[in-house]
Amino acid sequence: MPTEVLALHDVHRSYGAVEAVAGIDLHVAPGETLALLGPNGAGKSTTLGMILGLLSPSSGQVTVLGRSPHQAVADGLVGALLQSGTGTGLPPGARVGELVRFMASLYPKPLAPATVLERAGLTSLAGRRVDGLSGGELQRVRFALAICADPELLIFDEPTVGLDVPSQRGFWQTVGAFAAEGRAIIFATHYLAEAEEAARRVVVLSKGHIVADGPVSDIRRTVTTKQVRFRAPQADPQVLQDLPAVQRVQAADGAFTLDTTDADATVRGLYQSSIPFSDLEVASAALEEAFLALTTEDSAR
Amino acid sequence: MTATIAHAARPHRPLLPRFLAFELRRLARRPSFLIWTLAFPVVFYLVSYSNPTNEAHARSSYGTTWPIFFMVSMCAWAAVSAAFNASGGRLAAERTNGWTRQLKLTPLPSSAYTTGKVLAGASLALVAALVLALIAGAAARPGLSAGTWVAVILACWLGSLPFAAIGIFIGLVASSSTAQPIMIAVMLVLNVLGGLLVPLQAFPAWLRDVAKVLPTNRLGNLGWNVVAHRPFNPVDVAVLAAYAVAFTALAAWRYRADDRRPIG
Repeated sequence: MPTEVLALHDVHRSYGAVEAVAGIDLHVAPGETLALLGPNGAGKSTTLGMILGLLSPSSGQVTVLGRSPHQAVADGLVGALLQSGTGTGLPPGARVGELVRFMASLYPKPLAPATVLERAGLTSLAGRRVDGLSGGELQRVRFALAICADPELLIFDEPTVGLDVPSQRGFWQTVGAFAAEGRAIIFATHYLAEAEEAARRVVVLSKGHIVADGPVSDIRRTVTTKQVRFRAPQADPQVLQDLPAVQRVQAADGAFTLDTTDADATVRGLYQSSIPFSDLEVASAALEEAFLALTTEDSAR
Repeated sequence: MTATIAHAARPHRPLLPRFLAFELRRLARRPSFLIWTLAFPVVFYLVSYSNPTNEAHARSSYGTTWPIFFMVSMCAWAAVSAAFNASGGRLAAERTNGWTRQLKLTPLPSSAYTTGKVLAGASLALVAALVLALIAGAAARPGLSAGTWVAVILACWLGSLPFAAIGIFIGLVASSSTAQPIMIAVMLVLNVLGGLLVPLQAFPAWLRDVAKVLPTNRLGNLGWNVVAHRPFNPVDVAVLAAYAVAFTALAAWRYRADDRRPIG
């Protein structure tokens, strides 16, 4: 078995003049669970589309389990649950059990349909038509279709959008069991909490570039990791912005929050500036702020 | 790693029959849209099979009676309409809702996908032609032999293949909201210009020449020749086959082409 599940080498993809993916290098090992994190338009879906062979790169190379994406799909090594917008993503008129049996029958080495239904929590729904299912049930059916192949690599594009909280939790529990079997999982999300909860490795995409790649804790450490908060009714935000290591200044009713890459230097600078202040507080930024700093970096410059 | 998972051990056989069986099961569950497909040709046949205006055309050009000639026309109409409806209209919706893309992520080849869709559409055309023949036969009592009945139905069935292929191509190109109007327009133009509504002899000469390259006219010819006991014309089959092959290939190419949806 190849030591790499996925290798992207300098991959670009343009739509006309718009470069949705602007040079991505990425390597994924078996058993890894990776979150592709980024705002809408960052290039997440385009990247996943190229990994699945639905889109061809404008330049660069995508290798899935040592072969082309098309071949990997044809060999039944990849399963995917993609965004289906307002549609169900399922064939009208089909019954759940029938659909799973049909999909499994297309693969060379599928999971047994009964196993698929059980793992997706669909055993009791096998006789139902897909047209009348609820949002959470539909997502379980789409998940079932993704695992029919018994894939080495599972791809999910924003898998919990529109699900209620119990359904989200159920989804990630089921996925966790799959990851524990040594399958690689790549999912796109713009929910930070989801990336933090479900993935050990997070790749942050912004405007088609990878701007960070590592464990959630590293990402938090390497970027804007602290916030300095204080009250200073007379302070000029521009002066605060010029303090050492400050990335961003937020003001609200005379209270300021400074995002900083070096809280010590910022606080030292604040003392030396002789701006009167009170209620000084230094806190770790939540990943949410770290993420914002990462993805807005380009436009701030 | 995955050795403990229960695999469904199964030799890898061709995938087309599985896809076709799946499609047919789904079609069989929704027979309601056949009613819409059949409504026009049935009603039109019942109100105009006894109309004497076209009798002369039928006699002079095909040596048969208008009720028989027109029954073949409307059988062909029903087959064309069913083939279009069963293929393209449903497909555009499946493409928009994401199901077509999910299928692209399986080992099902594009050739098996398009062929399966075409055959499923033609199966519905067979049912439509049969129902129409039953109703028209009961109303007009044309007194055809069993062999002639079978030959007419067979002609409509096989002749519906190019229309299923055209429908699938439209379904793969158009959006779910435009597919239906496009298909209705294409079907009406093909059916009327092909001589299924009014015999070609009522057309000016140049329009008759146009009709000769239309698949609807060739489909009609297959059946009209049967009921008139005229020799079978291989050119009819060649034209129909050319349309079927060309549009199936175009559809397979369209199915393989880049999925332009993911942009975010």
